[in-house]
Amino acid sequence: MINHILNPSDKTLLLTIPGDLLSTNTDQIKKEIHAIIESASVKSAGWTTLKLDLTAAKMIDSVGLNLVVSLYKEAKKNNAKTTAVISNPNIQRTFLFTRLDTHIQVVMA
Amino acid sequence: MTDTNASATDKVILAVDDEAVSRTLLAYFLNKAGYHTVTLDSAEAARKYIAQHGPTAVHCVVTDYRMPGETGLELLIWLKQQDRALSVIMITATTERDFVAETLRGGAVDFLDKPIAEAALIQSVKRAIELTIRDREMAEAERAISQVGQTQHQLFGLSAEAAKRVEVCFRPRHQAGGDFVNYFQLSPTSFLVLTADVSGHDLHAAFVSAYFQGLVRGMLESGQALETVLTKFNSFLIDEWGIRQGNDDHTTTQASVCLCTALVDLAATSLTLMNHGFPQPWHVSPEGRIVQCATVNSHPLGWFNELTLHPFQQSNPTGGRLIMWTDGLEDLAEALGVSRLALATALQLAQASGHKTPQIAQAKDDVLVVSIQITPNLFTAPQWFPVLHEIYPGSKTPPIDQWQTLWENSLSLAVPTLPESRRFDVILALRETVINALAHGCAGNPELKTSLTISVNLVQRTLRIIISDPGPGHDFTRKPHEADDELADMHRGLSLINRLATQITSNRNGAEVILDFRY
Repeated sequence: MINHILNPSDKTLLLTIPGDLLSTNTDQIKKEIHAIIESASVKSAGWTTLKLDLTAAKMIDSVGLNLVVSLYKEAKKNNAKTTAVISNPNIQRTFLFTRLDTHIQVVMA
Repeated sequence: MTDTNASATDKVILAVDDEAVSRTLLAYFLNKAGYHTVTLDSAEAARKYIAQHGPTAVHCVVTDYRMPGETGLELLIWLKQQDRALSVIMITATTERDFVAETLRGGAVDFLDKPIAEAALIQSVKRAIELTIRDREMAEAERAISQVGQTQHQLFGLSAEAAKRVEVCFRPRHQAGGDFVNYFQLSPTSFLVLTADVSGHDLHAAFVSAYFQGLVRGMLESGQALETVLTKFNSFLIDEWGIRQGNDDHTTTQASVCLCTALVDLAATSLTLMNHGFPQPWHVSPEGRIVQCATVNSHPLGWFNELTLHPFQQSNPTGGRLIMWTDGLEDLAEALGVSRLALATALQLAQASGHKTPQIAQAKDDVLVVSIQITPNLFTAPQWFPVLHEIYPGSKTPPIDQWQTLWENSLSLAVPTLPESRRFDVILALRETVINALAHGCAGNPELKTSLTISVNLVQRTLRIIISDPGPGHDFTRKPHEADDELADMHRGLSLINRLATQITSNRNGAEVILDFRY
């Protein structure tokens, strides 16, 4: 279950991912996120920052990274920046050696 | 055999009570029933008697609870320290019922109310004597089994010549049993290793094991062929051992032996295996490749009169090592949720380094692991240890999370020195490579299989993963401009693998990929 919070003051859409992003669960997570982004309240909010809370994740594989990239592209299309909040050093390394940290701001919680 | 029908007159009962009337009554009832009764007026007097005659001179103690000086409970505790099999009956007053539970916890077999009823006393004493005799016999059997077990463990000590080639890790669960390993140097360049598991964990199994080992050694030294030895022993198990155990009609298997023999000829670079109900052995090549040895499995010795022998010879030009184990290891690996190879490696490495393996406490059976070097030059042989070998059916949606748990558990057990961050890299690369092989190499077809092996070289501090599928191949070498395109939608998995592994080697156009991880 993906939780989301829309903060009107700084126009941030916060999506909280409940665990790992892996080939075995990413399809379902993707559907839930798209339902949130496509909802009328979120669409009309004009958010300028997409914040992905990945602090519960211990592993993100290539399929999970694909989802992160597609969300980054979606945000960019809306002239919004993307931030990933993580807590696991291995996830930080994954962002580093796939060079996604050059596009997405990665924040260690 | 418990001699419960023996005459009561040869059974000695100590009747301990400070009241003369009670002692007289006890002696009267017990003597009348035919027991030899010794009456004593205190716990101290009872101690003195036992110290003088020994605890086994007495078959039962009937003692009052409340006595001046030491109570009956204190006497009971002391008696149990002298001979835990000696039965004690406690006599209590009705008002002392609260003490009954305490005395039973202390080891009393029964309690009797005062005043003593003759029938209850005799019935209780009869039962107590039976328990004493039975428990003493069991204690004696345990001592005998323990001695046999110690002798068996000494037999695992291999000669200096054998120890160069054969490493044995034996973790007994029972005091005695039938697991054993024998090494025979047949010529300067050939040797035979015989590993066996005799059914049972009692003296019978130990005797069968000892007899077989003596028979093999004697017959081989007199020039008999191994096949002749096995046939002879099979006949012995069915025709002689079975009859000695009272199995005249040959319908019940009294003892069976699972065994695997490995005949290694270093000059001819050949390996001949014979397998009779033993878990299939494994071969680890000098390059860290792991394969299950091809043998023709035959039934264990002792089952049928007809013994079919299937010596299976395979060319072994590359050397490496052979690993085999008894089924106790397989049960333990399943209980621990680790691969059998990882457990075998963990046990061997722990033994070599003198470390403990607490996981072995969960074993329900004896565990024996045997590793045989079949490399001609022992000093140049790379030391690869097996961690895992799995075969997966093709699938678009494999249960990868479940497999990941097995990989993680096996790596943690067999390679505890692998840093956590490197273990993460290995697991992530495994997920990507295995999914790629099953979805693309096997095209998702469950009829097609992907093999995965993991081995570790402790000297080079390298973990080697080999993944092989039957497909046309994959391009694991990403071109620089593709690798730099971090936002590309394709090949993210291959890019990940490239960045996680220290070195990637492709064979068969990438249908087999070897990933090395330095750590």
